[in-house]
Amino acid sequence: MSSQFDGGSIEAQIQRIARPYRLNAIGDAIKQADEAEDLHWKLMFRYMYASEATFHDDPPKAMPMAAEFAQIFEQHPDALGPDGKEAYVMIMQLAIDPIVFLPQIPLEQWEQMMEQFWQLIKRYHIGHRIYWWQKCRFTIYLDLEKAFAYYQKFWKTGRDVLSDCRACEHSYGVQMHLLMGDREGAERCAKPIKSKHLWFCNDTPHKMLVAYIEDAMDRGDLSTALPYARQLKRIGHRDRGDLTYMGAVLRCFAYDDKATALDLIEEGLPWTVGLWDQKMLYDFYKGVWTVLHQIGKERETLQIHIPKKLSIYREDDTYEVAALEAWFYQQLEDVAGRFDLRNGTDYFAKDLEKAVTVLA
Amino acid sequence: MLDILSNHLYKSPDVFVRELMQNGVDAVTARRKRDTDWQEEDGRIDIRVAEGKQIFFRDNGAGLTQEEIHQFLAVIGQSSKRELVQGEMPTDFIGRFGIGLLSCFMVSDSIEVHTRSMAGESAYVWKGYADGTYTLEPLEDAPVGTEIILTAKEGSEQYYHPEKLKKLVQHYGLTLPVSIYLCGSDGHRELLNYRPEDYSSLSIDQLLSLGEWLFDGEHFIDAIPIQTPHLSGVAYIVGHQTDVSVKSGHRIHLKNMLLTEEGNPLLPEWAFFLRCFLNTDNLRPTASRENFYENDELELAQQEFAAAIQQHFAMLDQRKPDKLQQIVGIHYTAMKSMAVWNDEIFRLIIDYLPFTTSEGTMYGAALKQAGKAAVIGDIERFKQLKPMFIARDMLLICTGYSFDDELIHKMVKTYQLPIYPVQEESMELLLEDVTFEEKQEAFQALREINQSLREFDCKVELKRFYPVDLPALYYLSDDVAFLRQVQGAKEVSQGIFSETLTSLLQGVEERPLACLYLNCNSPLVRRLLQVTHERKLQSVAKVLYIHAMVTGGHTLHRQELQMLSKELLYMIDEETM
Repeated sequence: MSSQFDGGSIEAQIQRIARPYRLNAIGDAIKQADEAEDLHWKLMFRYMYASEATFHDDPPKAMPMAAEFAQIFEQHPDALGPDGKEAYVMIMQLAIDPIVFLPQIPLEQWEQMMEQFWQLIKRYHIGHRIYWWQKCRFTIYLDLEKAFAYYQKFWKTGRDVLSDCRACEHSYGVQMHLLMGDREGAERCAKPIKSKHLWFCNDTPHKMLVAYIEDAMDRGDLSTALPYARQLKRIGHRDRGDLTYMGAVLRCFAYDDKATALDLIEEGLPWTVGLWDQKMLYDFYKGVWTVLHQIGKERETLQIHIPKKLSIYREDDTYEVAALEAWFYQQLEDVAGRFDLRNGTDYFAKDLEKAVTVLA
Repeated sequence: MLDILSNHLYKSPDVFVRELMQNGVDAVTARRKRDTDWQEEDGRIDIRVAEGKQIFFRDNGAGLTQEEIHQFLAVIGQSSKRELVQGEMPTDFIGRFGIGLLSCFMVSDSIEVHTRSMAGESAYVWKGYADGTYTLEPLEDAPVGTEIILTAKEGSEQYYHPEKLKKLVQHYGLTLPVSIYLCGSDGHRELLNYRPEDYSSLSIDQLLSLGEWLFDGEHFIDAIPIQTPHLSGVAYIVGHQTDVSVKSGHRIHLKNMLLTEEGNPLLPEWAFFLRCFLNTDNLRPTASRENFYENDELELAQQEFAAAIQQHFAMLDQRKPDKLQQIVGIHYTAMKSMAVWNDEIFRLIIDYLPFTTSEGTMYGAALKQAGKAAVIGDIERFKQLKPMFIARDMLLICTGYSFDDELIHKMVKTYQLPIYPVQEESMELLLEDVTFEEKQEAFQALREINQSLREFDCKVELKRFYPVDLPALYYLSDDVAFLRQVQGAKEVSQGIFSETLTSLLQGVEERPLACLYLNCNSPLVRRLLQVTHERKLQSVAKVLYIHAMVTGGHTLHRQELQMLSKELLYMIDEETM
């Protein structure tokens, strides 16, 4: 079997597959590489899978891949040549990244994973900057002041090969400054993105737009949020990995364009089935719930296709808006409760409360 | 600072030739502007080489006055071209003298500049070193213009050869508007650059020959002249299939100086079937002058480019449909990408585009006539459902390949086609439940089969489905596949990683199983369920499991292949005993 295995041509075939369906194909490629005992491709396809899951699907799916990658790499550290260490540290980062959004994983385990990550960073002397962002990202939900201190450390640490793209980093800046109530600071960070001097990865300018929309909507400032939401609507519903973007758009379109909002809901709901990332679920459901709340002011029933696997599914696609709204709110409360219980804070409860207050 | 600028601003030392040419062309442009008697063809750049030792790069442009030398050569990165004309940067200069000259330090430890200004001052010699120091002295005599002398730095001798320089000059400055000559020691001068006045006036054969020469003998099947407010040049269509990941291989010039070979960000994503030879005079370069800034002008240029390609395809549709079909046949992935983006191109080429269906490859034209059909994105599911759709004489279209989803959706909307998506749950809809009696009758046999397939993490269910000659169907949901992945990873990992994966699975079923559906409609299955010999029953069930895996297009693992061999051996032995 191994003589017939050609990782390069399998990789080329995978590139032909459309985004939402690529993950399964990479999974199959991993099986073939394992069968062929081709070390290089065993690692490469696992890396591809983790990246695909992180950026275009469900980020926690990177975790088992990273575990397997680590196990293989530790035994064969030369299998990917001199760049292997970068792939190793990067995939470990992809494994830690989603823990913040998995409430079933205790805080202590995240801390221990971060410690293991730090050892790896020290071993290879790369990834310091991304480490501080990881610390900041989780700490946002625990202690905002402390998170901002980590953010400043991140910003002061030099960039290296593992750093996120500059546009993403500036988007983090926008998010952090807005969370701290510093709109001028956010504007400074946003300036190179808005002027298109920083325009790099797949998520430019999506992350910045989300930060602005959430900040404005939490303050009930629809007119500020709407232009950002319209821009995000055009570019931000490509695959499952965009559910957070779609949720932010829905929060605005609930007031401005309900028909498009319903189309977006029908597009996004199938992606929520079996989703592990609970923050993406929360963000999208928050948008859905906002739309339903606004529709409920005008009508009692609604025709919409909901996936069969959601417990509220009805075969005739006809729903009472109030019941539907209540169901989504219940899901939101559940997720928010699980997050807060794990984190020992009331961040999500307050976030939900803000959304309710704005609606009232 | 000098080290950083000269060794880190640029990707390759090659660019020193580009920077020298830029300075030369700008000097000639400046002289043309100031001296109205000077003719277009009077401007010239001469290059001489002392093999392995020195390069002499001379232009007969405006030259520098003493003040300009202090201003532009003494200050890092300062540029005479930064002077504003009516509040704006002059558009007819292509470079920035100060920064550009620094690139020469990549191949030379010193830069010697002999210059005499057209303003009538005396000549000067300026000598700069990599440590940032310089000297300036009067020069007895020199013609108007500037000569730059580089002396080979250790390890850079390969640049100090006529053939190497010729190659670099033609690479970067083939179409520069100033004649560039390579001067031999025997007095012979060879013209290195050439520029057609208007690409659209050339015949298709001339364009194709030019393309073949420009792109090192690459074979092209068509050439599209581009003449828009922002762009001029030719887009060549390559004669073989190219990959979507190929973004380079173009020659994109700014003011006729090669700026980049990368398609991004000027060319659209779908341009990977093209090799473009383009020039622009009005886009803004990045600091390293290796690509363009993304601004509104760039967006306009992108739109113009796309419109030119679209116009060409419309012309082909009218006058040379065979050519259009040939292009689409070779480059269908790129064409699909274009058709998603552009309605007019969609209308022009949709009939020629291929799609994967349960009937094999079908083209857009056939799909328009096919009547009712179903679509499914997931390729694995498509493989599983395909035989069932064939059995029911229904058409199933796979939209799992790039752009197919968007295109089928567009076809449905544009031509009102009765094509509907297959939902995830449709798998179960295609499977009918068996009666209570049938279940009872098969109870014992199913238990045996279930036990025999446990080692493959597979459970067995009895259902009815079509075709009747499909005895079994293997089904692995995405959820089960992922859970298996986590469990496998948990087993191989240690310490905190293993604990975290355990937490991830909190509340999840202990052992996720795939499912083998046995077809109660199949005579083979009905006969199998009557077998009472336990070993024989298990053996046939295992072979059926492999059969279902293969039919569904799943990858067989070593363990499964070994099992197949073992069971076949058992059957042979049984027969001979």
